[in-house]
Amino acid sequence: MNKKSESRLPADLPIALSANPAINRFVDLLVTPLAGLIEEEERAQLRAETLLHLEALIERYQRQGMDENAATRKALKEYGDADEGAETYLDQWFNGRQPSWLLQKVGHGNLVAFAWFALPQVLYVLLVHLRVYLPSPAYAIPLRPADVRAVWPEPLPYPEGSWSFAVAIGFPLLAPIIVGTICGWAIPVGAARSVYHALMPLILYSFVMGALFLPNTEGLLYALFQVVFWLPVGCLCAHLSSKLARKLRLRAYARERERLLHL
Amino acid sequence: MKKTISALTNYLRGNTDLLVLSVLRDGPNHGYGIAFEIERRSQDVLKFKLNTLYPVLHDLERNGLIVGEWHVVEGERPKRVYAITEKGATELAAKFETFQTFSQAVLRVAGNGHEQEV
Repeated sequence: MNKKSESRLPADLPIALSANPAINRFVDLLVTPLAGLIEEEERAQLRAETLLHLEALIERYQRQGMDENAATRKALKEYGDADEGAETYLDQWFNGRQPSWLLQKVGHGNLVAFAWFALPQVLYVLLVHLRVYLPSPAYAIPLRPADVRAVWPEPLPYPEGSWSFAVAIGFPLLAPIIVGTICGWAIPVGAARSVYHALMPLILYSFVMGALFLPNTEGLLYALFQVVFWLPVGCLCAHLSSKLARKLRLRAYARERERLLHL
Repeated sequence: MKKTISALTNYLRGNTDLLVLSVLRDGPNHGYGIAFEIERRSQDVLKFKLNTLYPVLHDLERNGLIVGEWHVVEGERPKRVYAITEKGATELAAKFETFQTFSQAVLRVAGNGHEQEV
C-alpha cells in the first residue's frame, strides 16, 4: 500500500471537488467569504478538510441505512450553517488567540477601531483647546448677530468667519463617516460592534474634557454630538463598508476560482 | 435531554480548544475523528456544530499548539491528521487546571443548593 505524508495540501487536491454537488456548493459558501483575507493555501486546506469530513459523515449515515439525499441533508445539518461557519472562522482568525497581552484583553477589532477613532478625537480636542485659549478673531460675518442667531440658535457656538470655526464644524461631521468607513474596511468581522466599543471610552473622555472647558460649551456640545451622530453614523459606515469589502472579496474570489478550474 | 444539550452549546464555545487538545493528547487524529471522539467520550452529551471545529483547529495550528499533516493512503480518502506539540501540551495542562478549579468552585456553590432540593 502506497502511503505518504505531507504538511501542504496534496497536489492532486487543488480545489477538492466532490462527486456530490450539494457538498461542493456548501464548501464554496463556506470558503468564499474568507477570500482576500485568509491565505489561499489555508482556504484550500479548509475546503478540502470540510469536504472530506462531510463525505465521511454521509458515508456513515448511508451505512446506517439512509439514502444519499437523506444522508447529505443530515450531514449538512450536523455541520451547521456555511455562512455562520465562515463568520466563526474569520472571528477566530481576527479576534482569536493574540500575540500580545493587550490585543488578547481588548480584542483585535476593538483596538483597531480605537486607534482610528482616537486620531480625530485627539485632533479635535487640540482644536477645541486652541479655540478656548486663543483670542477669538474679529467679527467678520456680514449679518447682524440677531439675524445669525435666528438660523444658528444657542447653545451652538456663535459663528465666526474663521478657518478654525469652519474646521470645528466640518470636522465632526466628516470624521465618523471617513473613519467609520476605514474601520469597516480594516475589520472583517463585527466592525460596527468594534466601533461601538471603541467610541464609548472616547465619548466619556469628551464629556470630561467638555466639563473642564465650561463655561465654554464647545467641548460638551462635541461630546453630545458624538453620542447622537458619531456613534450611529460611525457604526453604520463601518457596517456598510465592511459589507462592501466583503462583496469585493467575493468578486475577486469568483475570478480566482474560474482560473483554478481552467488550470 | 435535548434542552440540556442546546444549553451546553454555550458552555462549549469557550472550551472547544480544551476538548480538542485533550483528544489529541491521547494520539494524533483528524477533524472527523476528533469530533467523533469528543461525542463518544462525552456519551453523546457534547455535540457541537462542526463549523466551529475547524476554526479552532486552524487557530491552534497557527499558534503552534498542534501541527497538521496530510496522510494520503492509496485507495483511501486523504486525511489531515493533527498532533499536539510540546507548547500545546503545556497549554492544555494550564487550561485543564483553570477549568478544574472553576468547575469545582461552581459545583461547591451550586451543587450545595441542589443537594438540599433533592
